[in-house]
Amino acid sequence: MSRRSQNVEADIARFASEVAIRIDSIVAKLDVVADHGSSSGSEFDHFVDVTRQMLVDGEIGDVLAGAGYAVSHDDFRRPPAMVWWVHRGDAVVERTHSVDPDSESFYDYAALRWFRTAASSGRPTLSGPFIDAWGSNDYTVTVSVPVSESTGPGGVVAADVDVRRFVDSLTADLRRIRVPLALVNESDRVVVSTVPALSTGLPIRPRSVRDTAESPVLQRFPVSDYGWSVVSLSG
Amino acid sequence: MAVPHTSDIVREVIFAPLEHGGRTQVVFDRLRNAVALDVFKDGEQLPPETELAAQLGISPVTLRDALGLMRDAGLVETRRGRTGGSFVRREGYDPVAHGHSRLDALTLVDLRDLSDWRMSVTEAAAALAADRASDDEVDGMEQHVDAFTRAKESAVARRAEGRLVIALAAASQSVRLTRATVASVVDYGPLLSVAYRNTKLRTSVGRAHRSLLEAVRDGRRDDARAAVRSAGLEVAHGLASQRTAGTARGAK
Repeated sequence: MSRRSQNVEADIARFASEVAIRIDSIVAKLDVVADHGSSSGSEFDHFVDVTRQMLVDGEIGDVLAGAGYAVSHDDFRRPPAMVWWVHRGDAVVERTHSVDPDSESFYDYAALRWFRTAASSGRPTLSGPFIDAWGSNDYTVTVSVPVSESTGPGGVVAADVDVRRFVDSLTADLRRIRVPLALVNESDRVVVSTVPALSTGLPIRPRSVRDTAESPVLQRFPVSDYGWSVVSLSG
Repeated sequence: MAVPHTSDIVREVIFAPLEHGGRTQVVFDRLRNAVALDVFKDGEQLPPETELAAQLGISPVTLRDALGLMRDAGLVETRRGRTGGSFVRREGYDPVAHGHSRLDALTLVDLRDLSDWRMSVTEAAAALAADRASDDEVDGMEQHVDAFTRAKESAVARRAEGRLVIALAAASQSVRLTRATVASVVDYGPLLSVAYRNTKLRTSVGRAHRSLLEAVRDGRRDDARAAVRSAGLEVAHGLASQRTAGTARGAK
């Protein structure tokens, strides 16, 4: 193997670990929120306060677009409940989601990866990029962390990443490595890439050919154990 | 803390400024749609008349007339006095009656135009989704197709279909198509409450939804389009016959 290709490999691996560090830092913030249940009063109100505070405390240049909490409701004793905070101008305001299963615009969070996978795996979960219909109605990357059920109703705390800012901030670093590259999620959907035709949200191969055509992936570098990876592409 | 009740996009569609000044009927349709879509919870007080009129870009007089129609339809209750105002009555809402009055208000050309728009948006979403959907998204759509097939009443079928097409649009990876699809679900929804009372039609549309799902799963974009078109046309033709029959009845 040539010295040059070894360098490129090292650069890609470094990029993958930089992405992991960014995700880790959001997970760390969520862990703090998830680990400290309320000592008194209502568990839900506690999470209403702390998730709001998470956005209020955000630093300038922070990529968090929203944060919130949703309870587990897989039994009949506890109805679904969720709170979500977003930035609007300089303020942090609540974005309402209908959590009444009988309502037309029911936001069925329990069916969504950010809630479902975090709750069932018990691990930090990375979801997206996906269009959050019934929620933000825009591209979303969500980092979520389960809340222990030992003290209360459990559930999931989560934060939305501002996808455009996140992608912008990674593009320059990615372009510096001079081979075709993409950061992809667990379904090989593009988060960001250096290939103009592969913009955020697209699969690296259309469904129609994904089982027949040869994979364009030459090498894959995992982003920690979040399911994302940086792939070098042919062509 | 405000009780969460609906997504921002539905509110945006409902409260978008009206285009050509104010017509009482248009405002009434909007407000009725808002009740239909649970933008308000039962007993919720509407914003003060001057505020709501300003938000919709209409005169307070037009708004007052529209609220009069809402009252006649049993959808709001007006209380006088210091704590007075207009309060939403959810139980006053009847989806089929809403659909019929919406259908009667449309000419056949309006109906065709609205149906064409709805089909076009959904076809475009289906074609893109056949290329771009993830397995997870296809599985999500399958749940809605199953719910549609199981539905025993038109309102349940309509809701399952709304969720299916919005999931399809999200899987197309187009934010604009997703917004357009939400708007078309809002606009066309009441008509579907009428159309899907016909069990035979529902069964046949259910089959088309199933082929749409399989086409998206297999990445067959043309078949996905064709399935959307066949279901959409069947619904549109069904509604057109009902509209014609309604006119014939009304003429007697």
